[in-house]
Order: sequence, then structure tokens, then C-alpha cells
Amino acid sequence: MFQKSHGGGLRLLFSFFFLLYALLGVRLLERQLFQYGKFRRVADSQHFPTLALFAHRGEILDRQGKPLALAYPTDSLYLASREISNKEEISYRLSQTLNVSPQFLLERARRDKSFVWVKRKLPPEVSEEIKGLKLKGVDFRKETKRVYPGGSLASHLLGYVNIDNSGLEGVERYYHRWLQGEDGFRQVLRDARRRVLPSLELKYRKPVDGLTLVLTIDEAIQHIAERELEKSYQKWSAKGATIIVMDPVNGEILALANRPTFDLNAPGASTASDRRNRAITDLFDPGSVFKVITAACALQEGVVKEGDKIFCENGMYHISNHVLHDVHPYGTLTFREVIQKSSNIGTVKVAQKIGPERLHKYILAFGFGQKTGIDLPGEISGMVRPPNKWSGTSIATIPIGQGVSVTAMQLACAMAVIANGGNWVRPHLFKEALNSDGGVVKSSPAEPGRPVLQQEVAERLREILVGAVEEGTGKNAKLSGYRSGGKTGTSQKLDANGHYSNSEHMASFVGFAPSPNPRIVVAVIVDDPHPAYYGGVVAAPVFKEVAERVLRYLEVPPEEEGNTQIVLGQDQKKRPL
Amino acid sequence: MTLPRTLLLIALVTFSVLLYAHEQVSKVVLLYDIQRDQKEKGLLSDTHYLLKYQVSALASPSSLEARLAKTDLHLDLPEDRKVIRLAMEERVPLAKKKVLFDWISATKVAEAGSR
Repeated sequence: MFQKSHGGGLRLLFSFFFLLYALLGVRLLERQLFQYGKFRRVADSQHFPTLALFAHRGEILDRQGKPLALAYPTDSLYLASREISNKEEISYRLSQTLNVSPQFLLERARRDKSFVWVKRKLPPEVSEEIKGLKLKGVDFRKETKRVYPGGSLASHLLGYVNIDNSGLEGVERYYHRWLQGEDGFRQVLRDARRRVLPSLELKYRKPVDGLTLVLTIDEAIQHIAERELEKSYQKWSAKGATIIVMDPVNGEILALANRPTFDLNAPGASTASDRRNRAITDLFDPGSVFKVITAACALQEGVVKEGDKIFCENGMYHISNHVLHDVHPYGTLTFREVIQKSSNIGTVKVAQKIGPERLHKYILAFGFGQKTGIDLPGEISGMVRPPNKWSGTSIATIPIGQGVSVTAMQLACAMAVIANGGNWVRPHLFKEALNSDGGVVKSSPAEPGRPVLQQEVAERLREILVGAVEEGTGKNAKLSGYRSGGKTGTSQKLDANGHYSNSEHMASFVGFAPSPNPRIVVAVIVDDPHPAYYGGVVAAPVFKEVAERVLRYLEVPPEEEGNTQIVLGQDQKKRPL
Repeated sequence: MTLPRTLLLIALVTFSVLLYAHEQVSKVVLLYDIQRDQKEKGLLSDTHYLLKYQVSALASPSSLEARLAKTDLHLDLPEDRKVIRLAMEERVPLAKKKVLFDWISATKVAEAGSR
């Protein structure tokens, strides 16, 4: 009885172990045969992790090689929440260093994830402090942070990037593809202590750093332009202001600034209005500056000569049931004087001789009503109506800059036509692109200008505009040491009802220097200045301050010394422009 | 196969295995060295980029201007309206000067005596 029951027990035990091993065997087979791929992937991800290799975002340099935008690696903090056991304590300790609420951190720590961002692109001292705490489940990932050494310098032009280094505005956006580069990766072997053995790479793709962009901007000229613009913006309590400094020969933009402005290192602290690049996005009636276009058309078409006399109706001219006035009543003026003294009546009388069709053709030829094609995002084309949509008074308003809408950039380009001898050149910021070894990969193609005026017409216009500065409305733009030319403009702004306002104006001055061989064109626009609002009072002094300093910076010899030969020493070689 | 030959073969195999193991261990040690150096290089590179930014920020025109403004003593020539022009002093002959100095000295002596 005992033996029988003993044998039965053994069999039972044997059966139990047999079943156990059978189950284990089945489970083993299942794992090895059916779940092989899954476990293989898990094991590989632990032993052979793929590490991202971030490409370095290309730098942006000015024409002298000075950095305007750089990138440096920073630590971004994340939590491996699943690995954290003491979530409350870690949240509290991190909150002390990061200056964020412990509740925010606790909420992140409680997520059942292996990767949760906490704060990205930390300052180096903060990340060092957190590393010193040696908290389990708290780790860092390297990212590059975009920084701008000049702060707000050239802010509207450079633009900025988002947290993922995608360009959002300005050059950063326009040339994002060139700047961003291409990320790489490497698959490596990791030991039991999670140390990477770098040379045992299974797969590797080298990151390609972004190209370094060299712009046509000159940091010093940009600074001069911004400083003088800021003074005027503050002095006249203006709503906004714009300045463009351009090389009229090749269309290179040497400086471009707007007010109000913002700090590129903290774009989130600014408003959309602060960040707007008014030079290419804001439209306004150009006012008397536009008389230059009418004058150019008249001279080129042979409608008038400089010395032709025009009766200016003593300041009151009836046209199409409207009365046109001059600021100062004039009797008979020569055509030259009409432009220099900015007579509305004289200009309109000349425009009547030209006719709408021809005038419209020249307005388009000077680049109005279409984008200039500058390498910046968001440019608008302006508004120029075709002659068949002109009203009866259009011939009395468009020639003097009312009823057309232009951008500051278009005005600068139009003045460049006169300054360079008659060719319209495309404004641009890009000079060249360099690879990480400093080799030139791409460079700005030399574009031939589009002929608009005959050279002698441009020369005669330049002389008229020099007269406008020396004897006309632009006396405040007269430079010491150099001859300059230009035209003032004062226009009424449109109010909310679409009527011209009597209290809000745009003051402008667009000019060139030195004459007869202009090196720069400067356009200054001040939006709604108070109490003065005339272009000759508000904008012309900015031109003078900027042009004088820039010409000296460019080592252009002053005219007083023009007759004597200026010998530069070995160490004073002329800076290339 | 004789015993010495067998022993020699065993010794050779053992030596080869040891050599192989040594080589593998050295390789791994070298890899750790490379990793350490790469990490150091990365840190130095990070520092280089950071310093480059800091130097650029310090050399930016606005920063330079702000620092110059702090040390600016405003030693400009005064504007005309801020200047009071005094009439040129009339030239006094030496003999008259001596009389004047004598009188001043005498006055001072008298004042000292009266105290």
C-alpha cells in the first residue's frame, strides 16, 4: 500500500516537472521563434543605440567677416520619468535651480514615459549646476542655440529661429536650407555601464554643417544707420522709421534698419509690430520724392529741358474741379527749380505734357508696383494703377506721389537708378556662402542692371537733385566735405476712413552721395513724426549724419581735399566695399 | 606525437590565445581612451563656440559704445553760448606792478599785526 502510494507520488512529481519543463520549452520556443524579432530589436536598442549627430547651423557674417549670428551647443534637460523613483524630491530640487514651479515638474515626472522635455537650451551655468546634483532619471541632450552678438543690431534683416532652429523671419528664413545643414547619426556599441565605445560603429553618417553666409551688410554702417535713426525716432516721437543704405552700382544693401525694433536673443518679448520689416512690408504714398520719377520721364522723353520756364500759377491751380496748391506760391520757375523747390503745380503741368501712358511706363520701369526681388521674405509689391483706371485727378496726384503706394526699398532702388547712371539693379543681401573649411561654395552672381535712363539724363537729374539739397528743400541734407543730392518728401497718411489725414504724415528723404560719383544711396522714412513733419526737417538730417559718417568710414576723400592727392600709407589701404 | 611536441603545441596554442585575449583587452581599453578624448574634444569645442559668441558680443559696436560712454569725460569744447568772454587784462608796467605788490604786502602785514 505504502509502495504503491510512494510510486504514485513519484509519478506525480515527475509529471509535474515534465509539464513545467514542457511549458518552459514551449515558452522558450515562442520567444525564440515567434518573438525573436521583437526581443532582438529591444536588445539592439540597448546595446547598439543610434545617436543623432546634430549639424551646426551656419553662421551669418557681415561683409568684413564679423559675426552677426552664431550658434553654440547647449544642454537641453529631459526626464526619463520611468526611471525616477523619488519624483517629488527630484521635482523640488530641480525647481530650485530651474526657477519653475515644482508642480510643473512633478506633472512631467509622473508621466509614464522614458523621455519628457523639461527645459531646452539651458544656460551653461544652470546645466552644470544640475549635472552636479547627479539625479537619477534626469539627463541632457545636446542642442545648438542660435545667438546674435549684436542683440538688436540688424534684427529685421537677420530674422530669428524657433526652438528647433527653423528660420522664421529675415535671412534666417530665406536661407534656412543653406544654413541648417544636414544632421547625421551613428550606431554604436554600448557596454553594461551604458558607456559608448565610439570606434565600434556599425553605421555612421557624418553631419554636414550649414553653410556660413556672408552678407553685404557692414556692421559699422549698420550701427551708424541704426544710431541716427533711433535719435530721430525718439526726437520726433514717431510711430516708426526706416533707413536703407545701398550701394547704387551693384544693389548691395549696406545697412537696413527699422524702428521700433527688438532683441534677436529674446524675440518673444517683442510685439509683431516691433518685428515687422517696414522697409519691405509697409506701403505709403511717397509724396514729393516721386517728383524725381516724373522729372526723369520728362527729361528722357524730351518733354522739357532743365531751363524751360513753367508758370506755377502763384500757388493755386484748378484741375478737374479741384484746386492744387503749392506750399509756397511761385510764379515762373525753370524746370530745374520746379524740382528743387518741389513745386506741385510745376510738376503736374509737366506731367500733363507727358501724359498718363508714358508716365505709367516709367513708374513701372523704376520698379514701382512690383517686388524688388530682395532676398528677404514677406516683400510686397506696392500699388500702381494702370492708366485706364486713373481718375480725372490722377494726373494731378500721381506725379507728385499721391495715389501710388510704394515701399522704402522701392524708393531706394529708384534713386539708385539716378545715382548709378540709369540702370535699375536688384537689391540683395547675399554676398557669398562658405563651407566649414572656409571655401566659397556660392557667390552672388553679378547681375547686369536693367537700363531705365540714358546716362546723360541720369547725370542731369543728379545735378538737379544736388541743387535740391544745396538750394532747395533738402538743405538739411547738405554734407560737410561732400556734395550730395536727393529729394525730400512729405505725404499725408490715409486715415481709417480712407481719407488723407491732416494730422498724420510720412516724412522722407532719399538721396545719394558723393556727387558726381555716388557711392551710397540712403533712404530715410519717418512715420508720423511730431511736432515737425516735413521730410526736409525730419528725414534730411538723418541722411546727412549717416552719409557723412559712412563716407568717412568708406575712406571717400572729402571734396575740399579732392584737388590734392591723398596718399594712403601701407597700413591704411582702402577697405574694399 | 611525442610528449615534447605535444607540450610545445599546447604552449603555442596557449600563447596564441593569451596574445589574442591581450589584444582584445587592449583594444577595448583603447576604445575607452578614445571615448574620453572625444568627450574632452567635444567639451573644448563647446567652450570654443561659447567664447566665440562672448567675444563677438563684447566687440559688437553697441557694446563698445556703451563701454566708451561709461568712461567718457565729456571733454568737448564748450558751445559759444556757454562761454563768458572776459576782456583782456591791460598790461601793467613793471614799476606800477611793484608799487601794487608793495601795497598788498604792507596791507597783509598790517592785518597780521592787528590780529
